[in-house]
Amino acid sequence: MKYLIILFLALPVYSAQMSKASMAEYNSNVKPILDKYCFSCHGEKKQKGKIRLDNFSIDLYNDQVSETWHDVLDLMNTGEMPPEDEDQPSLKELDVVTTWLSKELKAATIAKKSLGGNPIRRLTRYEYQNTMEELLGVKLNYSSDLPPEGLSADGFKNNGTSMQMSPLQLEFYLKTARKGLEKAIVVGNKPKPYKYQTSKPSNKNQTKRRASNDNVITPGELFGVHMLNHPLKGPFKITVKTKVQKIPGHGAPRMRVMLGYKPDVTITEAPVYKDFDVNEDGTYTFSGYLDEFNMPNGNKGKFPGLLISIYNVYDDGTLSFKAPKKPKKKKNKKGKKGKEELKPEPKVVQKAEPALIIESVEFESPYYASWPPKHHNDLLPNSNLKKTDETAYVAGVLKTFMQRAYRRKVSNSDITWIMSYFKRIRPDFPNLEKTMREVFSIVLASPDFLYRLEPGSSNTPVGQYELASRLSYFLWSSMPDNQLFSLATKGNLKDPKVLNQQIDRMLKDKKSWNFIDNFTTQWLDLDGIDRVAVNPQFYPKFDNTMKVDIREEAKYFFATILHKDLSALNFLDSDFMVVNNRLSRYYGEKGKNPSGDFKMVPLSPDSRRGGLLTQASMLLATSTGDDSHPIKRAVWLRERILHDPPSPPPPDVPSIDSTDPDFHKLSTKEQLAVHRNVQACVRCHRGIDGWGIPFEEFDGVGLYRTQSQRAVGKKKFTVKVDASGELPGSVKVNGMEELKKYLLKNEKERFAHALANKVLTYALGRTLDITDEEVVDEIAKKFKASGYKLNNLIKAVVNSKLFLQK
Amino acid sequence: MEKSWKLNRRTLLKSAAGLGLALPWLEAMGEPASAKTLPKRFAAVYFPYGAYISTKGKENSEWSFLPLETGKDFQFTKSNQSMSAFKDQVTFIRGLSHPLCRPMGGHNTADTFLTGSSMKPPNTSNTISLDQVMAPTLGKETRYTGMALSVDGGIGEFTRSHTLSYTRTGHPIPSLAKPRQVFERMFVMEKGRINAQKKQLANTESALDLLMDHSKDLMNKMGKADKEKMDEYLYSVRSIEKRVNRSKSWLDVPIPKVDASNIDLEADDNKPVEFIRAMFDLTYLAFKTDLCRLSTFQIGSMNGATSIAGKFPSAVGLGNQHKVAHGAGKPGGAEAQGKWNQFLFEQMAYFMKRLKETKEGNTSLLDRTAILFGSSNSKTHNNTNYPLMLAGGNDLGLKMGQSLNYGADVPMNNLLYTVMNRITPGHQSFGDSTSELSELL
Repeated sequence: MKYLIILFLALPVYSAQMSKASMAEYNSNVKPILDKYCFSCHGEKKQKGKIRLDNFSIDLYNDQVSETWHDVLDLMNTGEMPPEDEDQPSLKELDVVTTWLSKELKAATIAKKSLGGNPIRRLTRYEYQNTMEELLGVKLNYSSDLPPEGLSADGFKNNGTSMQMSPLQLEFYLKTARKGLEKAIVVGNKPKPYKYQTSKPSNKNQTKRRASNDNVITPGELFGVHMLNHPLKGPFKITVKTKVQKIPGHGAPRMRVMLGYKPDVTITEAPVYKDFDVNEDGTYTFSGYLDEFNMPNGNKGKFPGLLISIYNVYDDGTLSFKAPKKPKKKKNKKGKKGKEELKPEPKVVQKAEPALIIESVEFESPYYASWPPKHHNDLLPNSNLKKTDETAYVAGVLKTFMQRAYRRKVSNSDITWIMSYFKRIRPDFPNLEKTMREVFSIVLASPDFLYRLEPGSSNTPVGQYELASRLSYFLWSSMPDNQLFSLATKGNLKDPKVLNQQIDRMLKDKKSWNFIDNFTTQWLDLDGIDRVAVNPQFYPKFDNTMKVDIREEAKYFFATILHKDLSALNFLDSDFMVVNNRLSRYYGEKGKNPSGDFKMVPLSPDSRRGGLLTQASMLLATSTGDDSHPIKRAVWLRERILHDPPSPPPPDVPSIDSTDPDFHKLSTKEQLAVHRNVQACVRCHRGIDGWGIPFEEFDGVGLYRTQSQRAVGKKKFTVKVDASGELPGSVKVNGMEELKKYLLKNEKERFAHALANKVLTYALGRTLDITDEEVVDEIAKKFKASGYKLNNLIKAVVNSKLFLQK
Repeated sequence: MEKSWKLNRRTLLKSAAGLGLALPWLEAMGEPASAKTLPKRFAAVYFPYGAYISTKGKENSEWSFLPLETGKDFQFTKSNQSMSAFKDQVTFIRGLSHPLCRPMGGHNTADTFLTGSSMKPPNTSNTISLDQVMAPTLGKETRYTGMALSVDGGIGEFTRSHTLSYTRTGHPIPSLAKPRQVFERMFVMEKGRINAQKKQLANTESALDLLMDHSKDLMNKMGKADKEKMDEYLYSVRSIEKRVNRSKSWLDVPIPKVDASNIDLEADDNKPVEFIRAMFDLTYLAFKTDLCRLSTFQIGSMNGATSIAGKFPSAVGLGNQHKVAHGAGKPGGAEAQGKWNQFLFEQMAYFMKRLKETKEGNTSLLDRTAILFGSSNSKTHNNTNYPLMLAGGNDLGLKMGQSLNYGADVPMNNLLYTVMNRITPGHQSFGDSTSELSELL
């Protein structure tokens, strides 16, 4: 009996297999070509390298079989087979074989992967961050210690299969939970706060350039505050009272509040809040935890004291604004680098500038609005039971907490094990509060919290609470709120009307920014921007702080299309852009939006922008830092926009050994042509290069150009840009405008399908496979029928059977 | 010359008395050392995309990563010039690669550098890495088993890993990528009294027990795929349990105080030199104070698409890494790649110099540490003839001061197996190894 069981488990249980159509295609199209060129050496008579293909299985769902065919594909792609001295197949014949093989191998791999079912998903780094924040009611950085998430093959960070657990990770979860609960649950009497108030800027941080001597803070300036004897830990509140000086034709002044310390020559400071436009006179408060700011040596270094800087970072390029520059290194006579020059630049006084007129700045820490604070009372509410029957009290608060943490109703058995822990450790702690910190921490290290558990067999409907979680992690990247939770309790959530109402409500909620942020970042690979070091030799004017604005543009563009209910075809091309003042200037449209906030503005008639393809994010992320990289851009387009990624390069592809000394004088298009003339490259690159060449109109940092820069050694010269590419099917496109037109005319359905695929992948947190195609088709169809509205796409995804089923 | 910090439990306890110092409760492994024998150590340093490897008489061969000659009388090239200060402490190895990895995708092999397993489809997992085979033995006497470091952090993706270390089951061990995080985990004591910490550890232990039982209950209700994921969780709980249990014995031993004031702990990918050196400094300090005897450091992964290290060469003025690698055949390309290799060798020299200047026994830390430095590509996309250098380890029985050349029939695991047997003797083989490399003995 035992033997039988083992045997059963050891057998691979692949139910999927190659379709009849694929087999037929092999027999009628592929096999004859292999017969002509391969079987003479790898057939009945000869089996060179012990490989015989004529009677070899084509069951690519069998691992050994697929491995061999993988090798065949690679060898044919690199031109190693057939050997040089044998008859060579024509390009067309090669195409037939390699296309069939890549397609079928890919399908088999995906199908096999998905047969294991879709594993439970752990919370991603950002989901964990948001959930902890909501659950404990304390804003802290909960994810800083956690290792970064790996990307799945399809580019997403929330993929159940690729997200792993490790001892290190679990250790950090426990440590983080303890850290958070130490803040959330307080002990004893309200601590006496340290307070500081000033209406004059401090002269203690003069070494920072542009520190203002008076209360009028013009663009580029800061109002400095310096405090001694401040605490190093605990919650703080900063209150800034300010008037606003507005200037017609310009945007409002923009406030940035930084907190920091000067251990040595330079100040280490971090923002307390996101930059924002100050439109009205008023009092603005900011809060946080001092523990989150890096203050080495307890702030007792060379220059002791805490520094608050209130900057005006308004920057539309028309004013005297000068971003704080790095100190220049002065060369002394011997040509060696001398001491850093720390003289502040002379202040250019220009009255007519949007300015902050700071009236006062207050600092208080530890700051608690009430005592015990709300987050404490939410976790440990005051009750008589606490004194009369501690165990019953604890069971009660645990139940409330665990329901929120587990995002479902909890049963007695859920509580039993954790209660036993409470009883075990209670004698070790002097008070209940400290005990509960520890008990709650363990709840936050349990799999019910860290994973999105959906017990039960696959293909059955999800439960009410599971649906609430699916929705909230999809559209908010966080736990369900009270309304979702109570709808689930009532069992109403699956009513399509209720479901759609909830989607509308959730998308209006400001937490939907999490969806916009995370989905856009992963779909478009915005992290790529930070992987490129822009080479100042070619882009001396590029300011690295622009990368932040460039990254935000893509998100605000997505947000605009979503919230204004515009057609998603605007991603391919649009007659507007969504920029702030810095980006308008960057794109050569100075003053188009004078405000520091992102706004939708119409394009100028001669603008080169519109849609995603001409945004600096994509263009920069796919550059080398020196120049554009048409291949990367083509791959990006095919992967992100058309969901048709080319196969990765096979092993041992030779690099282009161009001995032509004038190679660097060729346009990139011509260089690529050389590439394509190499046998090993041509097969794959014919389908790639054409998509990338029209992008040549944009340089490595995303600016329009007609000449591209080159350098050999220190000698610089330019080469004329040639942006006329040829797409598969001999379609000629010259430049970006034509490429966009082509996409809008011929590829909009493929794009809609691709986007449906990406949103569904993100919503489910797993790689889609062939069996899901039908659902994707259905969603894409609804998406198209709605006039390509994202709102409808999201609704179609949520209402699809894949979202509603395990 | 600095002295190696040799662990002596009795003096330690004396000096620690009344200080109330203790250690972070996790990651601590094994019993404190009885100091019978001097420690043996291993460090692996990996860089992506291969190197410029040339042969005698070829144009640009002066930029070759590997010396052009074999034997004892080899010349250093422009690339590896910085190693000339360690002439008798380095051995260059030409011709080796992992046979099972040769058919893999050209950018897919970083995961396999220390394992030698095929990760080509249909395979879906890796196998144990060299450092982890040695970990149970080497970690027995130290506070930590080892350190996994990288530039990118975490585990990365399958075939685009961010770590060189793999567990017995082939699971990636996440690497740390922030110098400050490494410092705080390894060198900073947990605050609080020892008794309070003992309680804390005991509580954690019982919490983990309960979590374990609870999770097993959950697992019984799960499907196959979910069970695999839960297994990862259970494995994690179990590992932490072990560590907690063992760290109790380290509680009375203070973490040696180290001077980190010259280390740029905030260095990130925008400052490659400071960043790489900070990681080397931390490794050096951990070795010197015998906090651990194993380290792996992956300087970038082979994924232009996700590795932050892709911009390292440009940040030091040499152009994008992928381009440097792909451009080897273009005019000026050999020099560009040679200069990038030169840069890497210089960082290695920095690390090795610190080890060499620290005495241990009659020799130095460097002589008691085997360092493997290399990549899993030769040229771009090419999974044969890896650029490899072995350094240090004279005192462990490894023969240094030579340049070796092997044929493609010798699997690289023979090298790993040879090193392994010097540090933790008694293994029968490693992966697809066939024998030891006698030239190294």
